[in-house]
Amino acid sequence: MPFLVVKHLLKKFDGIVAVNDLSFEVKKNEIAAIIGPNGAGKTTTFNLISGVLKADGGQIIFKNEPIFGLKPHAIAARGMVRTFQNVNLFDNMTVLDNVKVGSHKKGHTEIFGAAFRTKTFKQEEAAISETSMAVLQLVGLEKRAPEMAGNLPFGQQRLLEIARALAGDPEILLLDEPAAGLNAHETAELATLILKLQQQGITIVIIEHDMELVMEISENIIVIDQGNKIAEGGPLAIQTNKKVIGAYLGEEC
Amino acid sequence: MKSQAIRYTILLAVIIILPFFFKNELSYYLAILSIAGIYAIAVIGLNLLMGYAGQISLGHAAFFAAGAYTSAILTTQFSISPLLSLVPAIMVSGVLAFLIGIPTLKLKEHYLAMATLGIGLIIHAILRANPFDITGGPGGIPNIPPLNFLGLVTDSDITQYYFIWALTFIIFILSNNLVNSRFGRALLAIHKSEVVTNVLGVNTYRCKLKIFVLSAVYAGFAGYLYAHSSPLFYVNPDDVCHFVFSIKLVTMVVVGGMHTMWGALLGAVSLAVLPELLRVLGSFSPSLNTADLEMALYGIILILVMIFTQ
Repeated sequence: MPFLVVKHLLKKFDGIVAVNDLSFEVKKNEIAAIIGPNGAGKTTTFNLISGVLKADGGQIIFKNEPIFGLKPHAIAARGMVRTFQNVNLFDNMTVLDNVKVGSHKKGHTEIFGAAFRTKTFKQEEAAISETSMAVLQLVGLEKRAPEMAGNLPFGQQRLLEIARALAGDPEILLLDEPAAGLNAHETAELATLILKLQQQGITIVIIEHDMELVMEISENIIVIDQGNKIAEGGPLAIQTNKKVIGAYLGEEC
Repeated sequence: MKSQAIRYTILLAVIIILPFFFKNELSYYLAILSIAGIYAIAVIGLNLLMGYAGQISLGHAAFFAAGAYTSAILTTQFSISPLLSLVPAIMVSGVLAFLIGIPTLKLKEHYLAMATLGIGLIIHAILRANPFDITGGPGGIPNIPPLNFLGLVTDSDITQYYFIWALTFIIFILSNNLVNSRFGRALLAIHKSEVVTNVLGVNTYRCKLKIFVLSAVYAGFAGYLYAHSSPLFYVNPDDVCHFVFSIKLVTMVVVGGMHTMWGALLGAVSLAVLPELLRVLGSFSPSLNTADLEMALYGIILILVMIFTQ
């Protein structure tokens, strides 16, 4: 049974078709990639799946349940979290607090408990701190925990964004160009991290322009161009696909 | 959190010993400081909404007025004890905010600012119009009884001062606790990016609605205290519900820096005593209209803060 099913997804912006009849499936615990030239509709697809944008048609089924039309927080509650193409940290907060926001949905204490520092509140806060530190350790940022998020170098900001998403214990993680702006060394570390997450049982869908990274880690690659799926398959099949080569060459002309 | 405890102790000490510094005209200064404490409660609430959650209310005076008038009407016209009018007073403020918040907080950006601006003007007009002959029209409601909590009557300046500042102090600590929590972190995150916060699993709409209602309840509570402790035990639309008063509350939050509760407290107190300083200035130059000067200063402060905090 596929983990995530996208069927006939359609999105128009002022009459221009951004995503056209897009269908694909992601298996549990696989690493899938969505690639395509700039403006192909990759990020729009993520926005539609995660509920940030409302699709004009189609179906999205996650863990056998339709999630089409749900609000982003409701989709996150079902176990799907995403990151953003432009690093979108809460730079008005510390590194640790950024991760804690990611674990918000696991908490229960409300205004009263916080204001009066009830026992349950203190226990929950201690647990949140502990799990958040563990997530920071996983991405290697535990030493930066008390610093302001905006002060981290760019590569670490990317890692923090992933850590923040992980804090919500996602079953599926949508990564939007996680390697953009990273150097070769950082990209290699990112690949290791993504594979480690897969070992922990997380399903991953990645949008990426770094073809070396995509070919190295992905099991299934979906290629879109101008909102249409033009190819799908394993790394080898995609590298030799004429339509794909055409789409990428066309972009360079 | 040891340093926090030390700061609280210092604040408490300042509150306790402050009256001993005023030998002459003690009751005059105590009245000003009591009002400052009341403003501080409203400003702490508005700071939760503006400074933390990043949502702007330009009509917070309406919630202050709702608390003040509800209690004033209940205690003067229905002879209810101020102890019993507390809950209805803050409920009216909270429900008013809830009803405004439901439609406007679904929308993004400046809709809340516009809606609250509108509601402030409407409530002001309603209070002046004197519907059903209960709000007293432009003249307001006189002869409001002082607070009477289980034998503690705030009829002298000094009991009033200590009573109000004890409440302000408690609310200050509770609010400080509140922002250092799961809920407080969600507010800061919403301030930065609502979409990102929402995607991470926070129901941002509910968070915004909660903090909006809570901040209105703070304002309503402050209004309630004001009704029962204003110098003449009297409320009128221009004092408690004027647009200028809403702007004054916003300026207090902005002066405080919008990031800390300590800033909110300092902003409230410093701007509450500003008119008194201007009055001293005005005594040297009789042609100076200090009320106009005060308004101009708020404008200048807002502009400067917006320029330098960009």
